[in-house]
Amino acid sequence: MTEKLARSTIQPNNPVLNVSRSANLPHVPGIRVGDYIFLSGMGPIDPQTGERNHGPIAEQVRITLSNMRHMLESAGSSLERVVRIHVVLADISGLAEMDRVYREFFRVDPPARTVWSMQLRFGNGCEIECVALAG
Amino acid sequence: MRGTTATETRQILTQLKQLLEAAGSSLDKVVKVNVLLHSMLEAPNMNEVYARFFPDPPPARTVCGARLPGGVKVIIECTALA
Repeated sequence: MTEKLARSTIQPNNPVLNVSRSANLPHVPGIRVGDYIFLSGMGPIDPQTGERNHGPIAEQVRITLSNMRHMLESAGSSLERVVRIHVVLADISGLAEMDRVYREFFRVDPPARTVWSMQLRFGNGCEIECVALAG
Repeated sequence: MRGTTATETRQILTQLKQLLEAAGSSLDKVVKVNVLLHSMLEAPNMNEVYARFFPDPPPARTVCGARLPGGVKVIIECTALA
């Protein structure tokens, strides 16, 4: 018989990055269930001001992945424990620039990944989500 | 049947609820949701309906705009606990 898994909410230690709460959106930053963490899509939010960064795509990706690291570490996990990642770009021509920054964050044994382009909200250039192992 | 983003969202989530319950799960056990919209300008219309279906705290979620097949305005998929 399998045991029922508990479902709990993940919150960033930095409240500025709790975008769904500050914008009153109907989702949470992440959910932990069993040994896994599922994060909601994250955008390029400045961790000091809470403003969206709409600079060059490399900068937006760096901010987003840095926020993702913070979110995972707030939950006792880390980027090293990411198993699946989705990178959504508003403009797929930013792929090479995104990759360049991405490699700074995942230097060895990067996780499984899919990249595609979609219409994003608020003028964001990227949105990144992942599934990671809990701590 | 084609409707507005709001009515399509309501129809999809009603069916999703039934599907999950038929499988012994429920909306309360949803972990992650992906929502695809034909236009991100419709996000507030989707959110208004969406918020009524899920418990507090709701699941993790990503919303993106995409070209959807067959003229549909909304596609929703989820990962849930059994």
